[in-house]
Amino acid sequence: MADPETPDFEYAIYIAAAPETVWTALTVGAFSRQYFFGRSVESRWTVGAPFVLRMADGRVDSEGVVLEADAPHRLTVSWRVVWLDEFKDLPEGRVSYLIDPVGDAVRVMVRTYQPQPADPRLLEGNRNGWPLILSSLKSLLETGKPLRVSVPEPPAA
Amino acid sequence: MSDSRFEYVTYIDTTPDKLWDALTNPRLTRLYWGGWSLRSAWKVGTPVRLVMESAVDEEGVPTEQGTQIVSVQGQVLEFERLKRLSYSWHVQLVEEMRREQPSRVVFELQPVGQTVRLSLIHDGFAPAGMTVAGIKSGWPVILSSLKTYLERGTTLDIAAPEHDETAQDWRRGM
Repeated sequence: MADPETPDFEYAIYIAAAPETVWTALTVGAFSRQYFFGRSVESRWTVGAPFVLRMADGRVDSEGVVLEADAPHRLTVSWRVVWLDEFKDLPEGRVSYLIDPVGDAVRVMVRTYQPQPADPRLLEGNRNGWPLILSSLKSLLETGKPLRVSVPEPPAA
Repeated sequence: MSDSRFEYVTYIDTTPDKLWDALTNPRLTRLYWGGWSLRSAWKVGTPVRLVMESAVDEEGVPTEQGTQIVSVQGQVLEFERLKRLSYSWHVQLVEEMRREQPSRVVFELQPVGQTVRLSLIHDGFAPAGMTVAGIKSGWPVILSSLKTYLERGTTLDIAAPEHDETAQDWRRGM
């Protein structure tokens, strides 16, 4: 059985921004809406606080609980996708953001953890979604504009 | 995740033309590839080299004029302009990596909305060798730098994280 501490997906991106700026972009709904498929993140961002990823029409996309919140370097939330019926009953996973300064830039590393055996649709969703989300975050922070890609829903897993 | 294959996808606000040029023009690769130029005649079978041309070597010691330090040596495998680019990859500068079999780099470009989706697959490694560990750290740096260059016209100033030894290899052009 796979080590539960081994991420099933990992993605690093380097962004010309300060760690605090990246932290704000990750934790404030007005920013996340611009690069995260129109979704707003909502939370008090303290350990144990609920976390919601909300769609533009008010429906909940995903939800969980804040597991680690060490601003501006480390953020971990449990994550359950609820907006699609076939995902609602899957065990919840975990998403970690690691934000480390490197020279004048930061490295943002996203790691996802699914209980094993990982559902292939969730794995596919991660592989297709995060590169676009993080590329758009990078464009937003470096050019002031997110990427112009009309993807109305996250890529279906 | 695999020990013998690395995949990376990024989306860049640019055109396939500009991205293709950035991937194949030595004058441009130098701007985002830590000073290394990617040189090739870009015909299938011709050599590909990642080089630094300098009057000093990598240690800063003056050398014969016109000396070229070759970091990576390979061959063009596929060249489908604006769509697919592939070359073999054999690291020269690190003894352990030079002893490993050459691996394979494949870039695919796909327009998506107003962006280009760039996918990289780097595979064919000696499993658990040094090369695969080095490139896993290196490619996100280089491709992030490429994206910054195409979107902002500037370069990213990145120092490898000190706690990540394998990331140091990207400075040698991997």
